[in-house]
Amino acid sequence: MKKIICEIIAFLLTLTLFLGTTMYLGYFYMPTREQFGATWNMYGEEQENSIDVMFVGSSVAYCDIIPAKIYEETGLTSYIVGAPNMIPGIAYHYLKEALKTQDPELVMLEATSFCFVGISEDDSKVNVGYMPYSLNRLEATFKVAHPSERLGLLFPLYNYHSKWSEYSIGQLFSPRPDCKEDIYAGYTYLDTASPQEEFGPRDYQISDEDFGENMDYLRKIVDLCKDRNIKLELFMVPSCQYVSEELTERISAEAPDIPLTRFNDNFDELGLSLETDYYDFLHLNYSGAKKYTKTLADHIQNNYSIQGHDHDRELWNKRVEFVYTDMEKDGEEK
Amino acid sequence: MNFNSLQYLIYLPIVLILYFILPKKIKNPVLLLASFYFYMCWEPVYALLMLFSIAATYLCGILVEKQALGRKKLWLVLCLVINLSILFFFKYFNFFTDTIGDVFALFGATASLPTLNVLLPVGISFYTFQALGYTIDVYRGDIPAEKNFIDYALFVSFFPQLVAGPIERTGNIVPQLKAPHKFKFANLRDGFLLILWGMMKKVLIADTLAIAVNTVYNAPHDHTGMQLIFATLCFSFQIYCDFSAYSDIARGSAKIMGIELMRNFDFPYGAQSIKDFWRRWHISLSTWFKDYLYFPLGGSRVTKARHCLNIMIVFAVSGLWHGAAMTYVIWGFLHGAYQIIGILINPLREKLYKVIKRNNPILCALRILGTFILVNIAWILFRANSLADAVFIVKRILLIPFNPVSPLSFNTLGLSNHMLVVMLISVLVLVAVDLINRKKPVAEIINSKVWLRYVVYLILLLAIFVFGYYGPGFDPQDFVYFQF
Repeated sequence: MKKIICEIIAFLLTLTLFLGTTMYLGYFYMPTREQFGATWNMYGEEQENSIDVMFVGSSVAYCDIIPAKIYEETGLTSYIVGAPNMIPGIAYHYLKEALKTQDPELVMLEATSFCFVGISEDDSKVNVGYMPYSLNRLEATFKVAHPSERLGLLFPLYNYHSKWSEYSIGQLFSPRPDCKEDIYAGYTYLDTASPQEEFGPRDYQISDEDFGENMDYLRKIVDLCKDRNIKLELFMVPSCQYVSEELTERISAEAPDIPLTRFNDNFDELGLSLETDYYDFLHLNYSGAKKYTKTLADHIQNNYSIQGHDHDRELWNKRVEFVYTDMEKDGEEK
Repeated sequence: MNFNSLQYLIYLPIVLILYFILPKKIKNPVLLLASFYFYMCWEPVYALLMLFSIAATYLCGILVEKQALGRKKLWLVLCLVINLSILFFFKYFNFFTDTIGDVFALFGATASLPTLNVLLPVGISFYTFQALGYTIDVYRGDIPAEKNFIDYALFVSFFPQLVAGPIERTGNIVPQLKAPHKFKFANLRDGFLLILWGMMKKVLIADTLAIAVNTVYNAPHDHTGMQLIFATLCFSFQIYCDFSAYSDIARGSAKIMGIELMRNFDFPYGAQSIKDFWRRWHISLSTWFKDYLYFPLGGSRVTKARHCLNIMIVFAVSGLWHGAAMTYVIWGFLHGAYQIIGILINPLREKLYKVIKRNNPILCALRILGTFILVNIAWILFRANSLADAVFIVKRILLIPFNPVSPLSFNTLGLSNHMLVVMLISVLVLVAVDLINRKKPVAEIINSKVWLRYVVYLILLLAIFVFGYYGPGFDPQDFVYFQF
C-alpha cells in the first residue's frame, strides 16, 4: 500500500512538474508581441478596472484609433483589444477575456470583422496563441482556431521549443520583455502613406452559412455586454474599400437595438486625404488615425455620458506625451 | 504510423488496454488486427502482400513437417522461391536491370531493359526473413510447424517489430504469444523507460544529427575534408541512435504486454574488432545470417580459403539486404574484407598478445578506436548517395594532410553551436549508459528507487520536448531502416 501511494505521489508530482515546465517554457519562448494586436501580455499590465471605453476589432481598429488622442480630447481612458484578421469568434473570446480585468462603460466593436470568413493557421497561432491560459482560451482553441493549430495551442512548446537557445537560464526567471505597460494602449503606429485611387465598396464573399455563424457570435457579444451592463456600439472605420450598404444593413438587422455607425457615410467631414492619410486601402496611417480619432472622440462624447474610472493619470499623460515626443516627431522627420 | 508520432502515442495505449481487458481467446486475433492496422497506415494494399507471405510460409511449414507428397525439401525451396521472388520483384528488380545495363555499357553495348515503378513495401526485408527463418527451422526439425494460423500470422506481423525488427525467432516469440499475459506494473515501468529512452535517441539525437549529415552528404563537393569527417562521425551516431531507438521502442512496447523481444544492440562502438562489432550491431540480422547462411555454407569448419569465401558471401548478401545499390554491396564486401584481413593477421595478433596482455587498457582503447575508424570508413559507403560520391568523400578526406588547414565551420552544417553542445552531451550520456549497461542493466539501477526513476523520466521528457527535432518547421526523419 505504501509503495502504491509513493508511486502515485511521484507520478502526479512528475506530471505536474513536466506540464508546468513545458507550459511555462512554451509561453516564455513565444516571440514578444508589442504591436499589431493580440498584445495580451501588455494588456495584462493595465491597471484593473481603469478603462472607460474598449475598442474591439481587427487591424482596422488598432491601426486607426489612438487611445492617447481620445484621452487628450475627452479625458476618457480607452484600450484597443485587437487581433489581425479578427473574425467574430475571436472578437467574442477576446471581449470575454478582456472583461475579466476591465469593466468599461462602453464597448465599441469594429463591425468589418463580421464580413470575415474562416481563420488561417497563422492567425490562429497569433490570435489564440497569445491569449492568457484560461478556459476561455481552451474554448477558442476548439471552437474557433484552425484545427491544424490545435496541438500547438494546447501545447505551445510544440511551436516554439526551438527558441530555447535564445535565452539563458537566468532569463527564464525574469518576466517576458513584453510584460510591460503598453505606451500605445493597443494602437499600432503606421507612418507610411500610400496614395489611394479607388474608393468604393469591397466585395466580401460570404456565404449565408458563414454569415449566420458570424451573427451567432454577434448575438453572444450582445448578450455578454447586456449581462455586464455595458453599452455596446458597432462601428465601421473609414476605409477606401469599405463594407457595402447591403451587408451593413444585414449586420444591423441582426442586432436592431445596437447602434451601428458607418464613418464612411460622412467621409467628407472627416477631413481625410486619400493622398496622405492611408497606409493601404483598408488602414489609416498615423496622420489619418489622428484625424479619425478626433471624430471618434467627438462621437463618443456627443452620444454617451461616461462617468470615467479611476486611472493612472501619470501613465495616461505619458501616453499623450509620447504622441508628441515620438509619433509626431517621427512624422515630422519624415 | 511512425513510432515517433502522435498517432502512435494514441494507438499504443488503446492497443494495450484492449490487450489486457479482452479475454485470452480473442487477445491474439485483436492484436493481429491491430498489427495489420499498424502496417496499413503506410500503404494499405501491401498488407495483402504481407498476408500472402504469411499464408505461403504457414502452408509451407505444415507441408514441410508433413513431408507432403513424400517431399520435404521441395516445400522449403518453394517457400524460399516465393518469398525471395517477392523481395526481388519489389526491392531488387530495378537494381538488377540497372546492373545488367552497366555491364552491357562496359562492352559498349546498350540493353533496353524494363524498369518497375513500384513502392518498396515497408518492412518487407524484415518480415520476409522472419518468415523464412521459421520455415527453415521447421525443415531442420528445430521447431514444430505452427498449426494456429492466427498465432503464426501474429508472429510475422507483430506490430512492435514488424517494420524494422528485431528479426525474431519463432522459438522465442510464438510461445510468448500463446502464453497468458496479465498486466504487471513492472512490465509497464520497464517498457515505458525503454520507449522513453528510444524516443530520446530518435527525436533528440538521431534526427538532429541528420541535419548535419544531410547537409554534407547531399552536397559533398561543397564541403571540406574535415567537414566530411565530422558528418561521417555524426552519421555513425545518427544511424546507431535511429536504429537502436526503433528497437528500444519496439522492445518497450512489447515489454508492456509482457513479451520479451531480443536485444538488437550491445554498445557496438565499444567493439574491439569488426567481428566483435557484428556481435553487437543489428544482432538479430547477424545471427540470422549466421544460422541460415553462414553455418549452412560450412561456417569456419572448412578450409581457410573457403572460410574467407563464406564470410564474403554472407557480408555481400548482408550488404544487398540493406539496399539495392552498389554502395551497399561494396559496404558489405568491405566488412567482409575487414574480417578476412582480421583472420589473416590473427597469427601476428597472437604474437603481440604474448608481449602485451590482451586486456591491456591502452591496447583495448586502441582496438576500440581502430574498429570505430574502420566502421566509419564503411559508413561513408553506406550513407553516400552514390559510389562516385563515396569515392570523392574518401579522396577528399585522404587529402586533408595535403590541403591548407581549413577551419571546421559547424554553423554551415545546419547545426548551431548550442545544438552541437547538446549533441555532444547527449552522445556522452548515451555512451555512458551503454558502458554501464554492459556491467549492470541501467534500468535495474534506475528502477531500484521510485524517486530516481521519476527524475529520469522527467529529465528524458524535458530533453525530448525542449531540444527535440519535432514540430512546425522541422522535417522529422523516417527511421533509417524503414528503407530496408
